[in-house]
Amino acid sequence: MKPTKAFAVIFPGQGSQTVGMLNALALSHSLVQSTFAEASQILGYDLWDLVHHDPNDLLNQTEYTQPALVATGVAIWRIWLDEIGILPTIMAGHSLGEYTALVCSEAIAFDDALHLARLRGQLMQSAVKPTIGAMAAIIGLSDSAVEALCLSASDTTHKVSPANYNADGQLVIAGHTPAVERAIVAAKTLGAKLAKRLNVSVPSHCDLMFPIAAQLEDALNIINIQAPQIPVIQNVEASIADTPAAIRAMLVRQVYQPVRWTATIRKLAAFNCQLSIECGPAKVLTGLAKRTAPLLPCFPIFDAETLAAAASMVRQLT
Amino acid sequence: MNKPLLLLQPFLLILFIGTLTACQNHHIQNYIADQNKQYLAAQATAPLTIPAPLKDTSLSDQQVIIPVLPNTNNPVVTAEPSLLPPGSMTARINAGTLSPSILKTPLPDPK
Repeated sequence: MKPTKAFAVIFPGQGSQTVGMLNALALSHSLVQSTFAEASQILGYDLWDLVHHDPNDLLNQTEYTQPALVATGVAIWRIWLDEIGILPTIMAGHSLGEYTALVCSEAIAFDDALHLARLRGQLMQSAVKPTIGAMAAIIGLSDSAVEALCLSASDTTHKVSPANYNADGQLVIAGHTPAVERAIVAAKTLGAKLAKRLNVSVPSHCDLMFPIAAQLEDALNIINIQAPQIPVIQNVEASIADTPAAIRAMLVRQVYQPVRWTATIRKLAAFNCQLSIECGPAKVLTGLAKRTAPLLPCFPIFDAETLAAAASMVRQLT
Repeated sequence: MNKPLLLLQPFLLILFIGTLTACQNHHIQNYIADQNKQYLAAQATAPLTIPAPLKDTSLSDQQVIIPVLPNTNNPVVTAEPSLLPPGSMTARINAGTLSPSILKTPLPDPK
């Protein structure tokens, strides 16, 4: 039986991907290659080649990004289990990262998560025509100020709302392009440090995604979801579902409701976590955690050195 | 009511609605500015919402301050009997209990 210590494992979502990700870790750990080989067989295309060479510029297309990030998180987690073998008390994932967390907590099978991630990406891409929706980052305004300016920028036909509560004073908004543009102007007027449109093709986590919820639910209804071996804090309520049916319901809502990441990170502290490790290709969540909970250190793992550093910190926990 | 005044009536109505909308917008802007001011003031005085550190672990060279919080028992997720055959989608497709066509969901047309 593996020992458990009071730390959290967190998994990033879209935006963390880069061509060549996990290259360094793959040189020292064969589990990276074997995990990607398994994923390639399930998906029916060479995921490792796509992630490493991206010959057709597919990695930033959401239906390819999402399975690639699930495989990346799972590969790092498998290395952690194999080499370090210390279990966390809790897990969480940002947006798509929630699927990775549910795989690593043994609630969802790896192959089911890959199929779901691909379908989720395809559905999100198909939900709206490219120019209809937009997303923007708003930095330097409070949650309530951004919520209020989204309301004032929305009208009967064009809506905008908070999509990601990433950290204190760091939000992403999403919605119809004209409303997002109005919100950007309003945010600048109010003194936001940054109010900028993001270069994304899909306006995630907003009402524009609601029409795909039913199809995502249909797909979730045909997969087995087990009780997780390690509890997972889910995005939409920053809470732990108490049944597999509740896990499924929160995954459906997550596609059209905001990611409450600030509250999720605070919840880790409330569950007595002493630190967290980020299993992903970069350190996006580490930066956000530093802003939200500076007293809850986060250590990213993306190569042999960062793995050793994170392991050293976790081993020293009482 | 005399005729010139009657002719002016629609313009007066538009003027009234315009003034009302402007007031409302002004009110919303004021509200947002006020909220933001309150947030910045709160940040300046109480930047952290998690408890202050109670324990210094002195972990080697890397100084990490660890918050010690009241113990919260992790909730246990209750398992439920599934109505589905056991196994993942791939396993069920291989076992013939799930149609492979399930992986080719038709996608909606973009709106």
